[in-house]
Amino acid sequence: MVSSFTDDQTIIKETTASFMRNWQDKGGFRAVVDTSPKLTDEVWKQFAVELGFSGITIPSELGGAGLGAIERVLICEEMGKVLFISPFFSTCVLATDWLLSVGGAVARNYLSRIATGDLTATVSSLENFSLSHTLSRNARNVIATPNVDIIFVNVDDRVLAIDRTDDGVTFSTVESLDQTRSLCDVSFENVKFNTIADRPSIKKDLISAKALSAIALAAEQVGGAEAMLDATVSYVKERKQFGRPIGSFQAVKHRCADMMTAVEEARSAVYLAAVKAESNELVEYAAIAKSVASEAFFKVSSDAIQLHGGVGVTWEYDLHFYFKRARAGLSLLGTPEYWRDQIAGSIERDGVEL
Amino acid sequence: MKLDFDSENEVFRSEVVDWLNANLTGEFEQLRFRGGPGDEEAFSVERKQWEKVLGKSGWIGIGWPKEYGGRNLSIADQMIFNEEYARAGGPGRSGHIGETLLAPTLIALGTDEQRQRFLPPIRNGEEFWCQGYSEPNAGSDLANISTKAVLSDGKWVINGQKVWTSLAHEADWCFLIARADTESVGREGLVYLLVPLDQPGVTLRPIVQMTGSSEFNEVFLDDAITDADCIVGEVGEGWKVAMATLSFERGASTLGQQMQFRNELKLVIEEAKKSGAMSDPIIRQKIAKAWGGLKIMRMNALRMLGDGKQANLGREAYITKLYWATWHRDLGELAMEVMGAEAERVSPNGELSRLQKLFLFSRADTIYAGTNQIQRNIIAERALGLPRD
Repeated sequence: MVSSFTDDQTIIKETTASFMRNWQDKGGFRAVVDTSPKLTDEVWKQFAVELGFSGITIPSELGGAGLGAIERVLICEEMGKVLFISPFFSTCVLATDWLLSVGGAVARNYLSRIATGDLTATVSSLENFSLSHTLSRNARNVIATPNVDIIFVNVDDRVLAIDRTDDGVTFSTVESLDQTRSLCDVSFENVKFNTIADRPSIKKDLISAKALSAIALAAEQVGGAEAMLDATVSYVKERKQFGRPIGSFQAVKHRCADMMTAVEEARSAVYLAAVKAESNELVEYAAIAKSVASEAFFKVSSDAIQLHGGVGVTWEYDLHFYFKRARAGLSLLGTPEYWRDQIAGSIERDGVEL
Repeated sequence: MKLDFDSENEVFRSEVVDWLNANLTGEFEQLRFRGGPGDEEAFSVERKQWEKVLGKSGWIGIGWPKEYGGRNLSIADQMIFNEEYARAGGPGRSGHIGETLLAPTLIALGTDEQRQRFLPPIRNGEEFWCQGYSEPNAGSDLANISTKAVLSDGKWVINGQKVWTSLAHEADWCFLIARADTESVGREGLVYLLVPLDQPGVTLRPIVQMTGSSEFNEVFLDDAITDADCIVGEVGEGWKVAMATLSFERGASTLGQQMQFRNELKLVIEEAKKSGAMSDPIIRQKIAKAWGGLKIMRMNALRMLGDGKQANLGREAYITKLYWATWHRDLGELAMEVMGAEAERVSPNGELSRLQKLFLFSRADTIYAGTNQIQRNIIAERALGLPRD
């Protein structure tokens, strides 16, 4: 009747979960971070092509699955649980959301290539300068692996498409605190570009795209937070001090209860935002999801470290990867404060239903 | 997943809206947005009249089976009724303890005679109930009650004291738990009794709250009596019945409560716009957070509803009380903040403003019906499976 998932949605969630378990069994993010970043490419082919998930929100006439924010949220939640490393976020979230809001024949062509798993992509916004007939500028902290195929760049009212292999384009990897999401600096020197959109409304469209992407990020964060909660609950049931499991002490129990409350609060926020993704209150609901989920992930992963005691701060335990990812995610795509101020603005001008 | 109710539910929603528009008028107009937690003293006589109007149109016990005078409506329709009732500012329900706590208990566990005797006057808005659980030494540790009940000459004779008894001064009857086996401790040996309040053995003393008003009472039982058959369940089953009653606290009324919260948030926002606090960056953050919290609460309730078919409570059900109580307490603090210095001024007639009442009364939210600390124990032990102390 209300707010339960359809059978198809459940299948998508379970398929992703089983893929992620399999990935984890083969070493998961540790294998990628420690040994071979190349693993990502093979896994990506399976995920994008065999499961067809690279086109999850791309319309079916472009070869995608034609599904929406809810299905993508379910996928992202499962990816977040295991800190899945792949081009999904930059390609199927950031770039896809830009292209869908940009529209037009060229954008549609790129979307159809993303849907086949043939193209990886990312985005960057460059502020405070005017474009001439070529682009000379550096973009910092772009979410991408250095072998990404294409970058879409917003300058003023325009969106440009630039191939990694174009003359004058250099991608260099940034060593980042969060090792589970690769960052690059990109330098553009006298680069020729294709303009795929040029209209005054583009900034507004890209804000909607950002909001949509923020919902997917928030879903990852719910998954990450849940993984940290589960790890902590198992640990405090096992670990004994004073002759009893530490999970029997109220000081520990209450913190676990607060962690679970934060996870469920964030999950409701994300599902709600996904349901509202096509409404005219997208930005406000995305704002709830992104602010609540990113704070929940940070809180829960830091509490997880505290409740694990000494081992919580070691490299050997996985907690720090989640904690670092949570910290990065607070700022990524807008801080909680930024998003809440968007809500306040809407409330101020009666632009949202109370 | 979708958030919309089915179209039949929406048809029902318009029926509710139309009825409220047609009836919350005339003498009842003044009752809009009055009564309820923090404002129970308002129009207590008129609100009981209103209960009869509700009863006459069949709006009490809408979820009960038809054989007991109900409409057998689904949880979704019950939620819709509560939501629209609160949206229209329907007055705080004097009869809610009987309707939503005792009646479901009798329907599930009572005898036919008890149902015939007690359900119709609840259903018609004619008899009002209160709940006698807490005692001075049995708060969070409810099983520690010491009120005694002895069966003597065909009557239960009850001695002891209850406390924090909401609306006892408006009630005709009290359902209470007492210890029938004087040797027993804890959850054993208890009885669940239905006791008339209008008798020499019952003395009420209102507790003046920090709001200056009185909604809770002490109830002194000195040889209070009730008939032998006014026991729900068997001797020794009092705990089980009492817990069944508490399990009905969750559910259909959630969306109604949230609509009241929304009305309050609206007042806070209007105040913030008026006072200029809306342009303060910190206040803006808090208002945005409150708005988000309200939407999350509704989504949580809808998730719970979607989970309804499952045997076990979902995690979102476990966080409900802790979440709303904390949210509401925070809203009370925010209300004072947005008013600035004006927050301190009490009107010349001595009555606190709605926002002042909200601030003070919401301190009780995180205490009654399971303190935040007890809620965290429940979450940790039942939802997360952590070992008991």
